Amino acid sequence: MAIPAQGIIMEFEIILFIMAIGFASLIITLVLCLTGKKIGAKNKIERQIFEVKFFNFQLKLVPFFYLTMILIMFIIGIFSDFLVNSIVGLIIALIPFIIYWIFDHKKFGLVRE
Amino acid sequence: MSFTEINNNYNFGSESLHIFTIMIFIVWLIFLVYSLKIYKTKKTIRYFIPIFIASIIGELCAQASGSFYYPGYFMYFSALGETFPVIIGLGWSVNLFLFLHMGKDVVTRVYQKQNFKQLFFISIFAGLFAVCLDFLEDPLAHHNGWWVWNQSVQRITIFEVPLTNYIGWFVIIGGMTFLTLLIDRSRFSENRKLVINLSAPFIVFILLGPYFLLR
Repeated sequence: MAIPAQGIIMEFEIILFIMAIGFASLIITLVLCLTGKKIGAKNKIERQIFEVKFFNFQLKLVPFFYLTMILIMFIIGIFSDFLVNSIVGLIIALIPFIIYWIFDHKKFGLVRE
Repeated sequence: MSFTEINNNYNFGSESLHIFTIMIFIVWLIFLVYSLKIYKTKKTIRYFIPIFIASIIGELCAQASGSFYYPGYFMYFSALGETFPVIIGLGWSVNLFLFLHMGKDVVTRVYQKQNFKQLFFISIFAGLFAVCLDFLEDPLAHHNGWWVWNQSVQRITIFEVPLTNYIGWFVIIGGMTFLTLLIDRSRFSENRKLVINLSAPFIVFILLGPYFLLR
């Protein structure tokens, strides 16, 4: 009977430990936010220098990998007899990419850094 | 309290889990190198570590409620009586990096003013984009046994995946995007931003205490 009792004590210790971490984090965050010296806002332009080019199509690295990931998952879906749901899933997953592609810089004729 | 466990008897339930795991790891590695090159070390830590912590907290809670489990992975985190594959944490880092950038790319084309409203729109878009990916990923994962949803629990499902899962994706990615960008755009020093961003996900622990007491 000693083991379950010990287990309960351990569980309470863990819960207290978790809550202590939470409160400590809250205090740290509040202290840092309230006492921090604010540095003047810098107008930094974030560059995404890496681009992937295939055929006549140029893409930033992040959306390229998104497209790659969803296509790999779609292929896995086909080969695991999950065709219908994979097609529906692919169509939905393509929405973010299509939205990104529509609003791409070049469509608006803006000059990239 | 928290340990890493190697699953000696790991068997990838299907070949596809192998492909999925390797794919996530490679994309994570590429994004990490890319982020280090573009944003340097401190910002990279802010983009990858807090979401990793938040995902561990979220996934452990979800598993504690008996909603699902992860069979057959190689390396697990073990905490609070639950286990959670390391690669899933890396996957969440990939998701945040992906959708934060895509959300930012889309919203800044339409709404250029750098204010609170723009931050809100970016978070909403990032969350919605994440849900779109989840419509492909989660049903496929359930079908192939990458993670298994407990079907005995009565709940609303879409493609055999609970609706709450999609809401969870939206909240985690949207929330973390908002938090990351909010800290990003604050005028604190880089060191201070780093500490605030790393400690912020732990605040959820305050709510977790009562949760584990009541379960």
